[in-house]
Amino acid sequence: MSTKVALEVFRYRPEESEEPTFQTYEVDCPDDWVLLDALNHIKNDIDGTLSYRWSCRMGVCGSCGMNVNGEPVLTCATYCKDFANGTVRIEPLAHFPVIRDLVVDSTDFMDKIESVKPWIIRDEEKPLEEGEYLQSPGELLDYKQYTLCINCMLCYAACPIYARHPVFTGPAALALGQRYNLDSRDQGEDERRSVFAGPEGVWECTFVGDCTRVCPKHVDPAGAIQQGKARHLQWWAKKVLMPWANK
Amino acid sequence: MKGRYKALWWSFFAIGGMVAAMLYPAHMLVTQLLGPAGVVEVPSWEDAHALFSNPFFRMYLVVLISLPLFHAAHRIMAAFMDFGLRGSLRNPTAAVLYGSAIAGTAFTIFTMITM
Amino acid sequence: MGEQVSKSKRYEQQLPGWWVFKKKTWFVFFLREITCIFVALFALFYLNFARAIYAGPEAYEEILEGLRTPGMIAIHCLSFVAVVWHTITWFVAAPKAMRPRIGNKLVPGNAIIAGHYAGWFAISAILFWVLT
Repeated sequence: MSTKVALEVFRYRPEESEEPTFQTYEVDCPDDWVLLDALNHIKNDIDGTLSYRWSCRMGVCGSCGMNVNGEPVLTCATYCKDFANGTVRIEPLAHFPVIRDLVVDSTDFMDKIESVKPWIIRDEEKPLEEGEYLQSPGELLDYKQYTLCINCMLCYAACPIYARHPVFTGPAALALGQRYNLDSRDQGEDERRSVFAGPEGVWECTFVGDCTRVCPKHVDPAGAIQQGKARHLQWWAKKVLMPWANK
Repeated sequence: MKGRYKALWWSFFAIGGMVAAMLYPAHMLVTQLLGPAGVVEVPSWEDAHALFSNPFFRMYLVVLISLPLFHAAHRIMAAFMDFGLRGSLRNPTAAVLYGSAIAGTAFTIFTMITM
Repeated sequence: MGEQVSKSKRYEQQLPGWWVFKKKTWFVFFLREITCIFVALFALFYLNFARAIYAGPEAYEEILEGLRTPGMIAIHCLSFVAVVWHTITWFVAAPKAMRPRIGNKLVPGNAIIAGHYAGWFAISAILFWVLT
């Protein structure tokens, strides 16, 4: 079985035109094809000039995110047959600058991920011979969900706050910061605070919640951010009400 | 650190939101809908006055009225920013909104002490 | 070639200021946020109501009279719906803002929501009893 799908693909080739256009490709898609298969078919057999990113084809690498009918999705996890006999509009991930066709510039995203210092920070590393830092299954559970992020950037494409105010640290980076803040082995929360709870950190989020809705890995960045607010508030209240208790 | 009081405003927003969510529907139902519609009996002035004069109820009223004002101020401010209010208008707008909530709180406390 | 790419002009994707009307989920978010107007209105109404009670029987009668007009009842129906919507959305958000763990198990989100509803019904029942 197969279905005819008309793919309206966003084209942007800055050396030809400063304005993007849409190009429609009629593709006969077998039922087991995902949109990425259709794009590969276009690239291989119809129009070799089309540019897009992809790698693993199985929802792990986070490269093939695109806006499909206005919704950020992984094209490797979106079936063509869901658009049976209709048109489907394929655009680059929203809110990011477009380099070419469906390829966006992810520099800003990379910088933001780095800005929350997503690694375990210790006041003092203990010597190797003392062994590993132990953690209970419960302590692992506190942050495990937030480790599942594949950096696909769908949450940024879903976030209107990031779109309107690009200096906002954004969903994935803040969820990652929360992931390390929650890790019992980590002692770097104060080092992350100026970014995490700073003027462009968690407080900028008004909890639209679309980041969580589109996340293919169920990381729940929106939840991580709200918990981050509550956690920072606890720290702040303790600092103000009990200044002597500061360790 | 810039924005160090954001946690404070957010806590008012959050507690005020909880107060409104838990308490407002019942108050509205009784006072604004079922009472006026004649479904439940409206208390006489004597009964109402006795309740509203109780010192604990006065304290309850301060919480009931003031915290949701901060909740609303915070959400309106967020909405303005969502619509694109940034830059030089941001601080004056915040001052007006949070200032109104502070004024409303002060007036409520004044009412509960003096009336 | 890499140099050529980095030099090329980027196409900036813009989102207009009226974005809340662009997507259903964004509009639902907007509906949640504007419930705060009705929350504030009720806060001010109740302050005024309390002041009327303190002012004496005449002022109390007057405010009750105003509440009975059909227009007022209609407005209050609308604001009641809005505030109940605030309550529902607030409870839905509750398990996002808190994620308690007991031992090696996270408390399920639905349990947190159910707890909020139970509290809401209990408090509402008490208020009903106190106010009538």
